[in-house]
Amino acid sequence: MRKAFHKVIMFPCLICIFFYAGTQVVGETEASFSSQVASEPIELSAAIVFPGTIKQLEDRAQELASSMHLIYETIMATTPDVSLQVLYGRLAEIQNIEQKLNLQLAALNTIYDELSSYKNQTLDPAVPDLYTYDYVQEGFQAVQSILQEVKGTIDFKQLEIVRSSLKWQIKKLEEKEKSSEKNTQARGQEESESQDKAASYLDASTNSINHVEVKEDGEENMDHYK
Amino acid sequence: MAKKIWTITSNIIGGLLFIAICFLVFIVFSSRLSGEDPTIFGYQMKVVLSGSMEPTFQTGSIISIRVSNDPSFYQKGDIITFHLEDKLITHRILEVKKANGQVSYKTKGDNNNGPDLWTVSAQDIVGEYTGFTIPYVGYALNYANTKAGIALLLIVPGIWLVITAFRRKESEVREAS
Repeated sequence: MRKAFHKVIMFPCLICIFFYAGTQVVGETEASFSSQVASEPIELSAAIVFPGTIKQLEDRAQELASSMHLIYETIMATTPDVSLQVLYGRLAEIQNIEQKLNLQLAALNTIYDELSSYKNQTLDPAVPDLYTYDYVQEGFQAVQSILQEVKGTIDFKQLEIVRSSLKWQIKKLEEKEKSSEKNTQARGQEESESQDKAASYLDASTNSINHVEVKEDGEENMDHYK
Repeated sequence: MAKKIWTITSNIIGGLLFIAICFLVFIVFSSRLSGEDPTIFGYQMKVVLSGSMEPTFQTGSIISIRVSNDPSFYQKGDIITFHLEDKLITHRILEVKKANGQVSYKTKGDNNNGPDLWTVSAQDIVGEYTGFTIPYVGYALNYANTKAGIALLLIVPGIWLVITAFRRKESEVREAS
């Protein structure tokens, strides 16, 4: 029985080995795929604008906006009561900054106009594939929102108010200084006059005192003689 | 009587299988030593790896190729196997070109929409497809060459056979003593 079992098992083993040996005899072949495409005239056209340029413009707009916000915050910071000299300096600074802000806003507007023109070009029906220029639309929208945000935050009227307030402060301080100078001068005159008067009074009183003393001395001398 | 017949039959089958295995091992070793593809009586078996010749033969089937000694006699419509760089390709001849006494063939896969970009020279041809194909066997052969396949088909049965042989010898020695 055991012998028969071994014999029965032996056949599948031999078949397995035979099959494996068979696999080593069989090679491989490919029924390779190939296809031919008829050559057609190819139209080559450069892109209206490349994604790198749009990104660059977007970054520049972002930089300008950040710089404008920073400058604007420094202007709006309130100044405590300071001297006239400091106020002059602050006014000059504000005028300078206002000019800078105007220039930066103009630069931002230029970027917006440039992107707008690119966007309009992509909308041209002659452009073959609109989806290729999605990045232009995205860039334009980003810069548009930056510009809107800048215009909403930076109030040039407020700047004017700050400037006029400074001018008013300066004027007020100047007037105050002038009036204080006048007062000082007037007081000085008064003081000198009063000093003169006091001096004359003093002289007069000194003379009278001496006379009395002389008189008293005479009396004394007379008493002495007595 | 039946037991005797069964014993004789099993011995014959076992013997034939053993001879076949030895023969295959010899073929494999000799082809490895010579560096050529294994050839049995002028025929080679190949597994089809891709489907550009469908429906003539399917991907995963095995096909037989008659190795040719004179590769310049093939005709238009014959299916030939040829070397292309490191690959073996099997395609149908679309056109026979003769120039300066040299024969070359323009080929095309039956399932391809255009002729091949190359021209096959006669010395690159291995042989001709005989029309014998067995579908799906290629997948089994592919599995047999994996680690699991080797373990299942070679190592486990091999160890079993060795153990059986030892036990038989042992029992023979015991019976003799």
